[in-house]
Amino acid sequence: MLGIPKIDAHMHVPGEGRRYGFTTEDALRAADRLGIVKLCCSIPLAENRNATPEEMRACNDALDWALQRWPDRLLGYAYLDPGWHREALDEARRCLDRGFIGFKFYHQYLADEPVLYPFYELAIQHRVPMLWHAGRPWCNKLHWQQPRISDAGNLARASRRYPEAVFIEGHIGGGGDWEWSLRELRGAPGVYLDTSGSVVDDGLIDRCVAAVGVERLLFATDMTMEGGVGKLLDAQLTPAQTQAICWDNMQGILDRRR
Amino acid sequence: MEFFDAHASLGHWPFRSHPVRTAAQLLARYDSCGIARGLVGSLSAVCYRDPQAGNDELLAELAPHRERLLPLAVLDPGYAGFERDLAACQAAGCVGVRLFPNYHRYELTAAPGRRALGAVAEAGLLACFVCRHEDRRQRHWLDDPEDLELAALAAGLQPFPTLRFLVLEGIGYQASPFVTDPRWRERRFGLDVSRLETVLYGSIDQLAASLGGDKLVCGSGLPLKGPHSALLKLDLLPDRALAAAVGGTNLMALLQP
Repeated sequence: MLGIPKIDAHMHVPGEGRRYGFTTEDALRAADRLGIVKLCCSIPLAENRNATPEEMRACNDALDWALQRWPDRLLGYAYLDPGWHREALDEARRCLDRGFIGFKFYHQYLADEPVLYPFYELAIQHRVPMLWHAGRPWCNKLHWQQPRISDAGNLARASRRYPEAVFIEGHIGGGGDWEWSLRELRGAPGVYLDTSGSVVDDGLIDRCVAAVGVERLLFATDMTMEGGVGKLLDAQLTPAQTQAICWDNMQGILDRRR
Repeated sequence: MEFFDAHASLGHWPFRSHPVRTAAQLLARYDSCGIARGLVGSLSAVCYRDPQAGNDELLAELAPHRERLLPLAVLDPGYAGFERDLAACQAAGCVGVRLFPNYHRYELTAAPGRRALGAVAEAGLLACFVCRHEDRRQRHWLDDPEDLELAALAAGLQPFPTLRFLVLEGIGYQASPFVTDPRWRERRFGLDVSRLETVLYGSIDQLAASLGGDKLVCGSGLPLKGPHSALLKLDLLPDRALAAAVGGTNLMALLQP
């Protein structure tokens, strides 16, 4: 498994310097040891408040610093806070012009709120994916830590409204009740699922395959790096399925770009 | 390296389906990923009113497989006759006990906890503490106990200097008394590294440097967790002697009275 080339569909790097407890070079060295060739990254504002336009741009500029230095290894999602309608759309266009591969939304708004619609229309126009920080925490205490986190139901509704859009639900292994999420996503063919997160439950990937199909699964770590590979090793995957999850599915999304 | 699993269970966890429930299924998983042996407790016993019923089920299930699967008893010191359960399980070959102060609703520093720890220490058995069964974000709404806190564990264990113990499914060890208070260096215990990161953060190496590599063990978490994440952490450790110690020899040493 370590020798199988992989695209990590959900990762973070700090840009210049240290953030999240590591440097971009640390992340690349770790990726090398696990066969991760490309890392699709973002730097979101992970607080329960809106990002200012300046903060949005600063996040994306920090990532762009790394993208320019490691263009063969790093791909970028532009972090957007859709609450800043005009400024955020400008930022989306600026980042697409700089070669970012898509958009990253955090928990400032729910995925099926109308404030997102212009961004979905822009993503459809450019045929780029949108990665959502998502989850379904059961515990009330945790829910109120992120009261506007989107769940699979929000994403499924957004996808039904915009069936041409490519949505990626982030971290099935780190977003609460993954069984609930899988049930919601059965009827949402426009929503891909990334495998990242610190949860390495036995049977997780096999249940994902059974629920949404191999063709909608994307290998990812979200900084849980051995766990990301380990949960694939736990699964009963054929070589062709492994290839699809580790590379072909995400490459297919990237190849859609106009 | 012969991997000795510090954390496996059988029985049924009532809040979610899981594929491995029998000893034969557990051994098949062990064989498929190269795990030689494991310490095994009962999941059912955690939630049964009378945990001994779960212990009895486990002992019957493991009876033909004792060379590879070493039984642990679940004790609830708040339930009638727990001392009899302890004696019965020890007589039946249990090498240790699992205590769940969070599920059985007692404090290790209060009377029921002190009674349990004292009894286990006197019996010369290994005490094991599972900090959590599942990630808090995904738990069933009835599965509500808080994760065990390392500082509370340390406070409870401190008065029992001869007690050997394992902390399983823990995280944040570097800031815990087990690492920051040098008095713990003399104690015999093992911290499970299965939730630490090897390649990105180097957390296992760092913990070994702070605490000593002889105090680290590793558990698969089967059947609730898949085993390969933990195994991969050890496979990727640059220090192969440390990997061998964490993967097996430390636990074997800890099982010796």
